[in-house]
Amino acid sequence: MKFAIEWLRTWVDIPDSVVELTKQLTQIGFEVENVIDEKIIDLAIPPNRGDCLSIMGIARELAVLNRVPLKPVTIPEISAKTTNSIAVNLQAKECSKYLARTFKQVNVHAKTPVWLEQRLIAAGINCISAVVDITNYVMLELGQPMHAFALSAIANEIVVRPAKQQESLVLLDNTKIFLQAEDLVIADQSKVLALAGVMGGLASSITEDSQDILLECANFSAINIRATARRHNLASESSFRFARTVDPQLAELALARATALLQEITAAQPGPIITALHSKEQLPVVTIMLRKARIAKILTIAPDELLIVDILTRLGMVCETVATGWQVTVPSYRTDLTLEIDLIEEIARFIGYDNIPAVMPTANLQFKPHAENIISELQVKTCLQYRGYNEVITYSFIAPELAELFVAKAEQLILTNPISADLAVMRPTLWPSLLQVVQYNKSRQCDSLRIFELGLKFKLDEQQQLQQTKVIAGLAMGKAQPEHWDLKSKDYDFFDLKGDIEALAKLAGNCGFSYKARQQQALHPGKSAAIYKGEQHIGYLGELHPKLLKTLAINEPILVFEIDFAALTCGKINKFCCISKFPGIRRDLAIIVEQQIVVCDLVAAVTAVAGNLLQDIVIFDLYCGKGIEHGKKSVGLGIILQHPSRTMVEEEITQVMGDIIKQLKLQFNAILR
Amino acid sequence: MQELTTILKQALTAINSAKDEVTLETIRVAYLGKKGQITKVLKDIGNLPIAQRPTAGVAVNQVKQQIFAAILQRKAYLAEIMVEQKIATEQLDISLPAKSVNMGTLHPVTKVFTRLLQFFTGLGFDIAYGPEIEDEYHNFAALNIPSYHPARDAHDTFYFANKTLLRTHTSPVQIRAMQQQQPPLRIIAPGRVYRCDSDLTHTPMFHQLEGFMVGEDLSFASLKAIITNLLQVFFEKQLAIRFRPSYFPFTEPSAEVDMQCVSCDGVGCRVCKNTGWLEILGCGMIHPKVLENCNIDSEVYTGFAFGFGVDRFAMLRYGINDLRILFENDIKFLEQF
Repeated sequence: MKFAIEWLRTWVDIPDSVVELTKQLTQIGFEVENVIDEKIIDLAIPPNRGDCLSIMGIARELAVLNRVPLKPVTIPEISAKTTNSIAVNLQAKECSKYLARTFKQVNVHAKTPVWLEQRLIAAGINCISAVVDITNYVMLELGQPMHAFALSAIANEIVVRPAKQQESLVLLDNTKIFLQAEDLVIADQSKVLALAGVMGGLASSITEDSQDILLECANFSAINIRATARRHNLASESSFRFARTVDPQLAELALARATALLQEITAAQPGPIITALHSKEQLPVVTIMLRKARIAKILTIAPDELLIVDILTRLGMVCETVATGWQVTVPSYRTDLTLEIDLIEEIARFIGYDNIPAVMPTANLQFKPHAENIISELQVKTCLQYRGYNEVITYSFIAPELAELFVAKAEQLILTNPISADLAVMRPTLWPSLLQVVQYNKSRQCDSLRIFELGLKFKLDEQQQLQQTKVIAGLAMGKAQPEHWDLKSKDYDFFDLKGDIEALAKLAGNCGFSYKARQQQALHPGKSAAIYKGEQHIGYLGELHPKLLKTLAINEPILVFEIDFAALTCGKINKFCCISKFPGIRRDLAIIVEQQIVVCDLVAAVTAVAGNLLQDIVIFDLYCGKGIEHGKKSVGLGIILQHPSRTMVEEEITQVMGDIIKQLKLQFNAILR
Repeated sequence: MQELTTILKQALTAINSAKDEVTLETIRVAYLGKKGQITKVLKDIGNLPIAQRPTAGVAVNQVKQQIFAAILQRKAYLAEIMVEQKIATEQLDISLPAKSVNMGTLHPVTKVFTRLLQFFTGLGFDIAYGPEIEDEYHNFAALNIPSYHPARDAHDTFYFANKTLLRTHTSPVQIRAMQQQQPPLRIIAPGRVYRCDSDLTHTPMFHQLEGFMVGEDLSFASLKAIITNLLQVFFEKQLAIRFRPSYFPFTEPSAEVDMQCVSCDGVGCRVCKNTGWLEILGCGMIHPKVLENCNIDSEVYTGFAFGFGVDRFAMLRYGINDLRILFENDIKFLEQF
């Protein structure tokens, strides 16, 4: 809220120094956003302090802080000069009070006085005409929005009612809105005149020819006005104030003020005050029990009791002393005070938060249980970091076209109000986000990249249930090592990636991952694998499908992986196994088999034959080409045998090797090379 | 035994001028081998009168030992020379680039989170995580932010068709923790949050750290101490800290906290818009309604809560001048950490 400092000075004695004033306002909770030329101040008013959206409201607060009274500002009651009246019919509970007053022979061409103009301009409000300027002035000064209608435009009576379906209204700014049943309108016998509390209609606004006006000074429900303004995407100084609650007791004062100004500036002749109340009942008075002990507990200080009463009284409360503290009656304009703790905050505000000490809390010592088999996020991230990956953090939402390349539309989670069209779908995997990092960096002279991210992926499962799963995902492209004077240049490939996955498996307590073929729409079917931990499918790794890369105009292979974080980080606690004291013996075999035989089957066969004599198998060679029959390959197996409790003898070794070769021949048609 | 002395002299001369092991071996054979000179002399002892044999034998053996020792010594010496010669030819240009440094980086936001988590776990805080897609109850209602409340304007929220939403703060994690555990509690909740806001200083997704304590003896003074201490240890500086009244629906009293600008030490600069202060976080005593919503007796227990943007902390800590850089993931940026 912006306003001229000199205006504030007419309501309360404040420090001469703007710096000092700024400090004071900050101390009591009004953030000073800007000071212009030492003359205009712009404050951030907390949303629960509707009572401070006016000069009077701010003045009240400063008066309490400085322990001074408000300056005497006289607002005379002006009696009617005409009998000109109009019926007001309240038909909605959202309007608790409606005051109206007619004004005849209004000089609409009167010039708004300079002092008034300047104060409006300082507040950032345009000067329009004397009548409108006066209503805006009073709104700024006291916090009560008002509206002036051309009396000639009103047919017979004012009706405050809910809008009917199909009704419409052309607003002051010439836009047309279509009303709904939840909208509150000011209407006459036959038509809608204004959207209550928000904006007036064009047809009933003051024109050059207007002579008689009707001034509305009413109170509308905060909830209703806020919803209505939102619904029609409108915002006005009036709706802003009503949405934050206007004190119903303000209306009479504001009307008196406006009457005086209209009379003075436009020579208007006021009619009688018409008062319509929704209910004859008085608004309930709020009384709160404030305990001394509670103040001391929350603030750890025990302020002087006289000081407490002084502060509260200056704030408009009535304090009745009781044994444990006070019964405090809250003024009607402080709708933000309903609980004891609210009063304690008031006391703290005016004593000054700086005057409350800082004391570290104490607690009993306690060891925090920590499961040894659970691996932390930091450990996983560090493992990848030490393998040369850079961590990235990307948005969780992606473009729909990108999402479709990875998951079916039916499983997508779509935002109803995305910030932009290409951030409208929650990512079903982290790969599309990582690809965007690739594209960003590729267009900036970067041709090799290894990145990872830990984040959630979002999907709807078959039962349309939301799944938000934490995953660790990575992407690699380009050279495995930066250009080097002694290392041969090599592109990052599937088996480099597999190495990173195996490292993670080792970190997770030697999990033992296995890899199987499994369809994944985004991956190259021949160069990808599903990752398993035992029977559990936990992720994927591999090259992205060439078709997908083509769609994204990427012309080199991209390797990716994604693993369920929970599965990865649930490891085992190590269990010692005896080490054999006896040497292992290695025998190498080179066999020729069909191309499609997979190494893990060969290993399985050797393991089956050698049993617990097999200490290790090394795949030391893989060859096809010159010298090998077309459609076949040569596999070099280094077989290391070891007996747990003695050194093996030559005959035993020969026997085992012989059995192995026999089995390989039998099962795979293997030929010794 | 004139002969013996001469042989020894010859042998030693030969040994001491031998230039390699092969030569030495030849010399050994020549003197100590089956047909070697000393061996011959030893044999000739048999032709001496018996009385002279022991003395002669001793003398010959002595010479034999001397020659043998000399050979060993020379061998060792030559070996040493060879090593030194080898070393002299093996001169590397040690300034050449290393191989396989392979040291990647963690994102600066992760580094800040890690640092913050260290401070809090050091005080015995638990770390809690929660879902990013939340329901209105946990994100707003339980926190005393009803549907019509003006504070909802500040949270421009991302919604899904079924009325679930992307959490706008990590406070829902606080609610979930309080629903599941009884006081005393001290918990921090880090994570990604989302708001429909995008400009120079706002991104639609950012990171928050919320923390809270609930217990029997907690006060505004406890809150002030925790916050002041946290900022000073995090930034490793005795920064001036200022608390001023504010409003949050879920805390009362509420405060916004400013800290002395780390860029200019409070003198005034572009970063702090010449005020010398940086608005750094929001906090307050947990509103009794929030405690009651979680079945915690607000007469017996009080609590405080605080929350701040971690990306902003990272920017202040590392001197990053544009929030959006954090999410562009330019490798030239990431490599700086």
